[in-house]
Amino acid sequence: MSGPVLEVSDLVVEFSGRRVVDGVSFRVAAGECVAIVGESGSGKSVTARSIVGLAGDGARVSAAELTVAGQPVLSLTGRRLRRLRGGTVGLIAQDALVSLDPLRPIGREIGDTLALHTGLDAAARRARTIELLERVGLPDAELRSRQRPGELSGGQRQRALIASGIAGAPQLLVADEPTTALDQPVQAGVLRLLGQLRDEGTALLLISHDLSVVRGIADRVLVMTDGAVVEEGTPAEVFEQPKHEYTRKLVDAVPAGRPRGTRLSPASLPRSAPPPSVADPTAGDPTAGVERRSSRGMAADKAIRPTFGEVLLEASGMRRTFYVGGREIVAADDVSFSLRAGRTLGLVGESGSGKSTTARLLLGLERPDAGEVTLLGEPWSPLPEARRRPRRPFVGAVFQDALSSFDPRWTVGAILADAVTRGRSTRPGPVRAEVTALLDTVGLDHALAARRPLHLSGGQRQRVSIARALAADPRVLILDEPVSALDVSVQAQVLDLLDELQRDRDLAYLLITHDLGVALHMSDDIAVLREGRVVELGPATTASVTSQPSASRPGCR
Amino acid sequence: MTLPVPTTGVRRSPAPGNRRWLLLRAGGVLFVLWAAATITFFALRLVPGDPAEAILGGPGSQAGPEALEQVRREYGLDQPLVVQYLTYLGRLVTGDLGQSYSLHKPVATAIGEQLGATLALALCSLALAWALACALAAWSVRGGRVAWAIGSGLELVAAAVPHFWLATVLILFFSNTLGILPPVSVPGPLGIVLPALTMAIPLAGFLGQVMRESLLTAMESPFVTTARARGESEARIFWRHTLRHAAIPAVGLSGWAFGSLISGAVVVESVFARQGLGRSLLSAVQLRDVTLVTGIVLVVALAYTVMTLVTDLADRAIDPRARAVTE
Amino acid sequence: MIRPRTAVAGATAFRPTVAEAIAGLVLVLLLVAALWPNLLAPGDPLAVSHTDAFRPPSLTHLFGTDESGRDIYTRVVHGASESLRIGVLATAIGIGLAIVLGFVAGLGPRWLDFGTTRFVEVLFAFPGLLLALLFIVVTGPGVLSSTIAVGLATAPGYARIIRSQVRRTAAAEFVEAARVLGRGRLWIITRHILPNVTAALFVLATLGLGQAVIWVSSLSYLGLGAVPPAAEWGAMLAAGRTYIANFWWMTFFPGLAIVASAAAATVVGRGIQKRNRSAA
Repeated sequence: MSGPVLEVSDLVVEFSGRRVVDGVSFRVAAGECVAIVGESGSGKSVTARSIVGLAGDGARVSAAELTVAGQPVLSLTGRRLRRLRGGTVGLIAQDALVSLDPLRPIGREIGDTLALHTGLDAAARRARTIELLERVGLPDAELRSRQRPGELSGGQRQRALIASGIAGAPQLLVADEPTTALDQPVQAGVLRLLGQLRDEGTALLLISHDLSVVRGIADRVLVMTDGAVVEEGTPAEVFEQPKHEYTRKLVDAVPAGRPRGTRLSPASLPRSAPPPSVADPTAGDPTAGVERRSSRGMAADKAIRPTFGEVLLEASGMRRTFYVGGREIVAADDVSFSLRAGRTLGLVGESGSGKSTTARLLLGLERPDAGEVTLLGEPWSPLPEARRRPRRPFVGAVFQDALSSFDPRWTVGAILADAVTRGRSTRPGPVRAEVTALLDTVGLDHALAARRPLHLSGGQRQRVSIARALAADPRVLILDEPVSALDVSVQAQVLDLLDELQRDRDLAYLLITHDLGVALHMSDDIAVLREGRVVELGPATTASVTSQPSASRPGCR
Repeated sequence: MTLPVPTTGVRRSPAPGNRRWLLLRAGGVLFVLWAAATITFFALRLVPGDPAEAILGGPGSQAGPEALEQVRREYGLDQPLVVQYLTYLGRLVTGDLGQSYSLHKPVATAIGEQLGATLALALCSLALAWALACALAAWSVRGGRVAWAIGSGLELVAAAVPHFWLATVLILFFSNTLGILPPVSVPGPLGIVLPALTMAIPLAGFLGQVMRESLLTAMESPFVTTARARGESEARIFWRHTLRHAAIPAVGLSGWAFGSLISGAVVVESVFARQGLGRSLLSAVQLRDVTLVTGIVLVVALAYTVMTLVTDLADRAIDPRARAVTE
Repeated sequence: MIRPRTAVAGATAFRPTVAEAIAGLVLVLLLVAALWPNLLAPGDPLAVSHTDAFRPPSLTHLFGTDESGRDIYTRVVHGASESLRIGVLATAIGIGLAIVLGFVAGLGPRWLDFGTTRFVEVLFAFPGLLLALLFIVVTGPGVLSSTIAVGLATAPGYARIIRSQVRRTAAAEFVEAARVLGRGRLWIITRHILPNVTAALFVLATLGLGQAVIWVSSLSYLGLGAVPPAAEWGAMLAAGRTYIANFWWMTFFPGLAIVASAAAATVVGRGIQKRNRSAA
């Protein structure tokens, strides 16, 4: 085949006057994989969808040229546009659980594409459906074709979605974040399949936020930000010698392979303010004996300030099982480790490996069936909640979804005031100094105190969440996927912040993540969890852990 | 932190869960019926004054002493309460709902005579309401802004219209102005049109509101984008994908809708002077014929509970996800 | 992906739509009619004038007159207080009962939740009006008993909603976050769960008010609630029923008042709900 399959020149997409894509040009040839990388809001998805005329409601699309296999997409309408969709261009979207109709068997979805774009009769379509499912590597294709997306695993679903995308034998395949919802080994399999299709002559346009995904498969890479392409080249050129400032920032922000302690984000935030003295020493505290603190750094404080490396929180032989539908599921099985002052334990594992249950056990939100958790050498998990409560300030938590961890009715100021006063008041007025100091610590503008979390960006929310955890002056922080919902550059900032805080305060971290790159960058030790068991535990630098499939996932959605 | 959904290697197996679910639900239905019977029994005893007198229509009934005595013997009112209760339950099981003083016949017979008319009305209305709601929702969702505004406005007003007033307006329009339909119910298919329409319109308003919401959600779902990217036409997407998603919550509401239709029948049947359970119930309430009232209420509760069970079954048939969540 | 619809909705979230503005106005008018009816209709709702009987709507009698020559407009305005009072009272009874049941089930131990939920389920087996009728046959007809009857009949529905709202809030992640911070159970209930459920309750009450007005007037229409010559809307409709063939205005306008108040309450309730959701 001669000439490019896809030719885009000066593509502009506007939503009610706002330019989302601003003059993008590129071409994709048969048997070539071109990848567009960028963070959320960069316009990469809209670019991809414009190619099939699905930029979205109210989008105004214009281009000097936008042709697929010689057909000008923008001037196509009705039947001819529909012929193009699925027949000439296949689209593979992100999460097959929602991108395939949950009420219909996957075989029917694939059959629909065949009915639209081939002249096959019903029996031939059924046979072809089975063929396609086998081709994308689904065993038991006959059975699978009768199942609905909800009955398949994530990887199986995604393969089915790809099968429905290639059923019309398209010359161009547009894959929009095809692996984002998947665990890493599954991700690798799906990428191999896409690579195979490319090798067979399909032109592939891959959209991803994930540099490591792109690196493995793309022939050429486009970096997009704010609707424009800022850099273009082979993966080696773009990732090894980035020319544009934004690309450099993006590449630097990837934690994978960066030694512990190196900064990921460029400029340090203006945070010269000293750590806040958060507790109100005059307020009568019934539990003063345990947790009364004066301001930090004073000699008297040393008594309860841990020394570096001291064991603060220790889990030994924790086991927890759940019963779901009469079936026993072991979420934690003989889990033992310890968290030490100033050190980070990274806990990695695939979804469903029991990471979150482990976090809940450590936080005392869940009681282990067997085993024990001790805090500062004293019992923690066996205590009744009333006796655990006075000691709770020692252990803080940062959740994955910061937004839902805040009461939607409260402002940032109220959230922090509540944390500072230990629930005595949510009025920030009397404790303004402490609230301001907390905001300083996490590098947020003081004006944000008046806002509600809903109106903050993802990174700001996570900073508020960290500030709240710090207010009680904890010794241990349980970080449950703290950056997995963030763009890679924002992720870098939050990770840097966490690192700095740890150094300032000798905090012990348990960092739960599915992203081995993040874990390796942040941790001193790493525990690998599989089906509720710790299958590996050792220093982050040891070969056995690092030799795991290194397809790390710098999330930057 | 989300709930620990420990999905480690769990494959949902709908088959055994299904039978267990059905058994549990059937048990639930029996329990509800027993409890409903108990409530009606005590409602009967709560009527102030002599229960025998209450059974004969309250203090104003001027029943003779021998009539009262007969009722006492028949209902075992001279027995302890527990014995009365057990007797009552025993009679219910055999289908004996007692004797209606106002109609001078067994309650079960009276209900049997009226049930058909009300069921016919309710089913006609339900079908009509579904048709109206689907048509309106489909038209207004796909017809642009103006259609959207008109559709949601119509549904809102429809849902806010009381049956008795709507009946009046419909009679005024169709009978008095146009003169094409009879103002009161007459035998034959023509007589059912106005009552059914009266009950269907408010219900269609409710169903339409629910359907519109879910249609909108379905239309914004990613699988619709996938279908478009596959080259499906908008019409096919609507009929094959979105409509089915939109129907799920509305089907779930059909059990409730059936109940509200029975309520509506009380009003509508009396406005149109139409024979049926609702009208019997109303006159029984007005005459304070307690046995008849409790009898009808129990039968309706039975029908309603069974209807709810059927709706749940239908829901599980349409939506495989409902099967996965067995609780 | 860019979603223009939500973006636009976010920008204008707190400005009322045209429908909401109209609905708000209707509610204000209703409130004025209920509290100071003489401001809107200075006449006497019970003033009989046999020479003026059965007048069609005109400038002197906006909504016409009834069989005794009473001005229907005046009667509709003066009927507002009675109809609304009954509606509000019925809603209050329903929601009050439902709060008790819903919170007991939502916050209580498992067995209490189980028991309460079953109880509500049983009440549910009597669809709407039937529960009300069952109550009326026990207590006898009348304004008060029909009001309580409607309250009782609506309670199970509210209770179910409140229970699930309480449960959902109690399982929310921010409640878990509060526990991690060391907050006690009572504190969490008063600071997090109650305020978050109250917002939803307010919406529920507004939406329920419209339905309660319809139900109570239905009972009056059936002769089980307020009785003529009281200027209650349902009772007025019932009185006009006899003359429907010739004097349509006697039934049309009181009915319109019911429809308008029910629809307005629904629109306003929905509006608040939408804003709550976008603020949450």
